[in-house]
Amino acid sequence: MENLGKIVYKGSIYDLDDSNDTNKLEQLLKQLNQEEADIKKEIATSIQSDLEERE
Amino acid sequence: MDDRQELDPKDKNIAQLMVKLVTVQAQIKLVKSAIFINKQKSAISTKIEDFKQYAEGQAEKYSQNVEEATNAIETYKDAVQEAMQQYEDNYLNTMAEQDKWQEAEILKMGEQKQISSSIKEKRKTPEYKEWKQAVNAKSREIKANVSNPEKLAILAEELKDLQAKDPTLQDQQNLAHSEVLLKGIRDTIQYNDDKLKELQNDRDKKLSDLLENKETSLSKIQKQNLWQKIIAKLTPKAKSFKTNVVDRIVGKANKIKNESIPEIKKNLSERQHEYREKMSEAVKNTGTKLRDTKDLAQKTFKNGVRTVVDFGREAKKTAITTLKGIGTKVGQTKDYIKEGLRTAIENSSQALEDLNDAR
Repeated sequence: MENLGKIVYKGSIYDLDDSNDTNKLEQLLKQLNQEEADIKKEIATSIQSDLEERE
Repeated sequence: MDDRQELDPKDKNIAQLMVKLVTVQAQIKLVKSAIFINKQKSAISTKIEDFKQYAEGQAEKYSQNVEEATNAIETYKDAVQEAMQQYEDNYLNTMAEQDKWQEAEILKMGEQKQISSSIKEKRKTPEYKEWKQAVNAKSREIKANVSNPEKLAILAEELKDLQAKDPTLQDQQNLAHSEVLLKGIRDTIQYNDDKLKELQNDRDKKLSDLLENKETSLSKIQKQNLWQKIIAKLTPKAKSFKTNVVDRIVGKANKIKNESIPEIKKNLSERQHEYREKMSEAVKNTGTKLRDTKDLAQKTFKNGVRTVVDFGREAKKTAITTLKGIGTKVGQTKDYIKEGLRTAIENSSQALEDLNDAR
């Protein structure tokens, strides 16, 4: 399998091939999951805002 | 002509959010894959290191060259890795499936945004305002006639007829239908998330079994009963080393190859069958036309995680065009996949920049 490489998230570099530091990746995953939820919420809010009737 | 230039400015913020969403989802897949692979890499490497130290100690004890044991350890390592590869393939395949459902979710959200925007625009029209005034007037009339049951029944009927003429009614019904389908898609995404967790837990347990159980433990290898000790004293050191160290490690590798791997394959194949049925049912229930991943799944097996992440990157451009007509999206997505990785990344990055510039 080829190397996964590195990703940069909010200014920090994460080495995806570093098998000695899965905790760091677990923390990153938590942040990404939260960001995913936030974006979905923002899209839902935008749709909801369209539907609110203004007199 | 570039599709992105046709995007209505009012939809750019939402398109930008969708691009961000696809990017984050691609990153999540990459990180999950890294965690999945790194955990097993780390466990196997620790165990192999223990084995090597043990073999070196034994080689010294029997005054033998450690090379033969090292080869046996490599055979053992290959066997464990082959066993784990079954889980890895399954995990990546499930992730590829998840990718299709996430894409369907984004398309559905785009569809909803399109409908909600249409409702918002229709509410600004004179036709809607006139209808709204008529409804309000009828409501006031109803309030004024609460003590007159006969009139009230007629007015209620008239209000019902008026409500059926709501200029946004069709859009609202479409939105409600879309919400039901979106829920089905999200349930399937959750199901795939659960499957990924389940696969990871099963893999962890099997890996632990293969590396740590009594059959494979070093103490089991090292321990000799009295009779074995007497025989060992009478046997040439080279033969003892081969029997007690090399053959045992090779024996464990063979056991994994001949027993564990077929058992894992059988188990995963049965579960895969059940999973496929569940996914077909979900496609039927949600009326979702998913991207054809026959080629994609093959690529996943061939290239590993990177391909899964590429799906997400390629989907970025799809998100941009999501707001511009849902019907053509599946065809477009297939084209994007064909475009190849480099073009897809360039397109998606450019799209994000275009959207940022437009803010």
